Amino acid sequence: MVLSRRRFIGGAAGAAGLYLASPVFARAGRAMGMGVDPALANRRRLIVIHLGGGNDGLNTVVPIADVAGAARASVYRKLRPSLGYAPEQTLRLDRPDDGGHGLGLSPSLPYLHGLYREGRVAVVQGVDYPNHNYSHFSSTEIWHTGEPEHSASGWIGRHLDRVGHSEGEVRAVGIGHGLPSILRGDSRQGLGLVNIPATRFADGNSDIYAKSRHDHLAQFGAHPETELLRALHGRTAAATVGLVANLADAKVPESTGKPLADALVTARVLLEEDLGVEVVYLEHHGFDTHSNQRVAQEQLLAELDAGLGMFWSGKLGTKQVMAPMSPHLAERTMVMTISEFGRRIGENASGAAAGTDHGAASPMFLIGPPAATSPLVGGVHGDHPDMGSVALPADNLTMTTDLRRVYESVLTNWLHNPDPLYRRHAPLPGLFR
Amino acid sequence: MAEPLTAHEVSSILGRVAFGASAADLDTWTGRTQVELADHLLSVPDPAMRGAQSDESRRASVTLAATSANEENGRTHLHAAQGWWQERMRITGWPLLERMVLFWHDHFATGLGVPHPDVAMMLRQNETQRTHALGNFAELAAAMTQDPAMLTWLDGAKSVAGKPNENYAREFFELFTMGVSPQQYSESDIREAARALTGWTVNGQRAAVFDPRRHDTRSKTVLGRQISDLGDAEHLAVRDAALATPVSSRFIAWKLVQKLAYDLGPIDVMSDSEPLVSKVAASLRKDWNIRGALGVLLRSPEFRRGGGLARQPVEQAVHACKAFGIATDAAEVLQSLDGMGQRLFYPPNVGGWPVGEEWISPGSTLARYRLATFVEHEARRTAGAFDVPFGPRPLPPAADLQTWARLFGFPRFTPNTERVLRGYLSANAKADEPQRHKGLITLVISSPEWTVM
Repeated sequence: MVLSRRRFIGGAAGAAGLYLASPVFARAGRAMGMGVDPALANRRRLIVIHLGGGNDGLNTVVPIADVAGAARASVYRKLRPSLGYAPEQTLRLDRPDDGGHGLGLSPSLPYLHGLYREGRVAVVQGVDYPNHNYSHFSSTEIWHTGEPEHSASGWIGRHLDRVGHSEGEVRAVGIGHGLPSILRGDSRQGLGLVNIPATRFADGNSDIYAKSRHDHLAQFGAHPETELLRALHGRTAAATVGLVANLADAKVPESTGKPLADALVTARVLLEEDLGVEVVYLEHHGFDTHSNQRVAQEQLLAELDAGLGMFWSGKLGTKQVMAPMSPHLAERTMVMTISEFGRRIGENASGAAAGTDHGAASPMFLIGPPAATSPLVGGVHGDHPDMGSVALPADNLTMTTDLRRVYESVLTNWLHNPDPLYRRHAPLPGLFR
Repeated sequence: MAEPLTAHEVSSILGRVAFGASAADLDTWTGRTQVELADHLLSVPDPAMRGAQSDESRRASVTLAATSANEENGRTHLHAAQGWWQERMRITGWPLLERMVLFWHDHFATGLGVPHPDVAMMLRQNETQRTHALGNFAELAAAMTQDPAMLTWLDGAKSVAGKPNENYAREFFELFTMGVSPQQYSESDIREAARALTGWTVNGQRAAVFDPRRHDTRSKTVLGRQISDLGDAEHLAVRDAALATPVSSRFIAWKLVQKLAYDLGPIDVMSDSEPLVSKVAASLRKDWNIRGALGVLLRSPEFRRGGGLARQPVEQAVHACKAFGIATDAAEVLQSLDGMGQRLFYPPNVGGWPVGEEWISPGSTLARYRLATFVEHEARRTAGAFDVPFGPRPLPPAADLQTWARLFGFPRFTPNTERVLRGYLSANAKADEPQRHKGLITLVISSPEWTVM
């Protein structure tokens, strides 16, 4: 199976589809008299957070009790004498139907736990794909394309293709360097940016010569080169000039000093600036905890928890970074976490140095709007992977939920745009109302 | 192959493997043969004789100073190390050597960590990679397995009998020797190799040592070969097993073509779909000699023809600074490179840096524009200045695009670039010359042909 760490700009259609016009955000489009969807403010939004490196699911959603003959907590304690959490250290998943699951959240996730108790969080267990691949790069490609048998396009990219918005509209943004596969469709794609303050020209905007330089930079996209990468380069230059113009008036809070929180601030600004952005993808790195896992993962999960808190409340620690999210936006926003794989059940060393090696299945979080209006059903979904017995423990967690079914659930029930590639993978029953 | 090189070919070849051509290079090599140029690029003396590079004392003092790096001053030492290496790339008489050190730095991607690997360890790794850059790949691979920075980075130093850490073994097969396209190793091979590699650790003086008490002495089976009782030589047995597989020479050949010749995307390296990959692989398979394999690559018609290679940010910056005699160790250059997505000694992950279209985004466009702004400012400043080495370097008249192209190492600009530049010049016909120079330099460095050679 040949997996691409990059996409080919394939064929005439591919090349033609990229940035034909200098892309605009919907607001500017309206100002320019272009026909823009008036229901833009009512569109649903999706934030995808990739936990880069392979997040250890077992120390995120911890088995704290053996249930219904499955010796999970016992196996967990046996194979993780150093790394394991005692039940009382975890934040119990204790909604009315949770007793049968015997699970607790990592102590580093108090805000998420609070949302869970409000019924806003769906924990989907055992998510993976068939013929699991243990390479970061290959597995990330699979999670991004949503197609183990190799598709060149990302599952959000294909969503953009099917929506069929006008070529110039930017509906999806990836925060970071480059543009990840998840946002590349066949005829449409998202746009990558690092953050909004950096999305400016170094020579400013006020001088007429600077403006002339920028205008001519955009001209590189007007008459494409014949060589494909050069053509992409020229079009990207044109797109950049448009992007800078569209973001020129955006008000952005000061950096929080925390990369994930900053990325979530950027996501909030993009959503609130009424620019037509529907999907934002961002990454939180460092989860490849082959060693010193306890300290590293707790820190990373704490940052995730704090970032999520700030995303909705606007508050990071004691600082009010931005206003709380409006109820209107909160009703229409969902966050999901993905990771290229979980990690093995057993720890690979002892004491503080203990870590885990690459594993397979792990849980995903879907966090929806306030429960009263939300179609997302809070609680624990899917089956916990088999962990064997104390006498014969499993080495690894294997798939109980195919990731394509989770994607199809979100595409069908949240974004109202099912993917024909997933016709054999029905949405998960009970995940959405 | 015996056909004389055109100026365009000289520009493309030196742009891809030697940090760019100068106007003088265009004059020297146009009309000579491809073999002559290849031989010239490859004529780097053996490692033992290279100590006399003109910046050797700077390298030595940066390395020594880095041994006292701590959390507060670590960044300063990192910038000093980056600045030294970028300057070496700019001024060296052996650009292909530095291009290959950069290639191996990307291939065996190791990054700074807290507290280790630190800058001192990364500089030592850099020197090891330089020693073997044009030598024997098998020896280079072994040297990387024993490299203190690598041992720290991929947890080899913590791996111990009974609790082997799989991180290095996995990446050794997946990224360093065999690749996954196709994948000819299994999870079991990884686990067994991890056992064989136990024992290697790093001591307090940042040196690699083999501790037999940490080594798993039971027999292992890696890639069908049994490894028993070889102690500190077991890592060599793992290496030999990997390099004996059919896929290994093809994987390394593919990487060399992908990063030095043209961007051919992912392929099944066992197929013979790419003649250049097959040829280079055959050379590697013979004796794993890197210089020999590069000779095959550099003398090939496929390399000569090219086909679109997105240059890395560091290469773009070095070329731009070289064109105007500007030092690359300025803070502005380092910050622009950070924005473009490349910091030396600090790759994004163990897979190294991106390729092709992954380099092309609004973020990198804006960071490259920032680099261009610095370059044009310095170029114009030194144009009339007498207090710079070799005196003032006046810039050509803005309208003389032919001379400007040569200054940047092209016989001429592409029709598209020329259209943009002429458009800018006519829109700003009334502006003063410095203003017009400013626009030209900024737009050329931001042009598609600056990135994609």
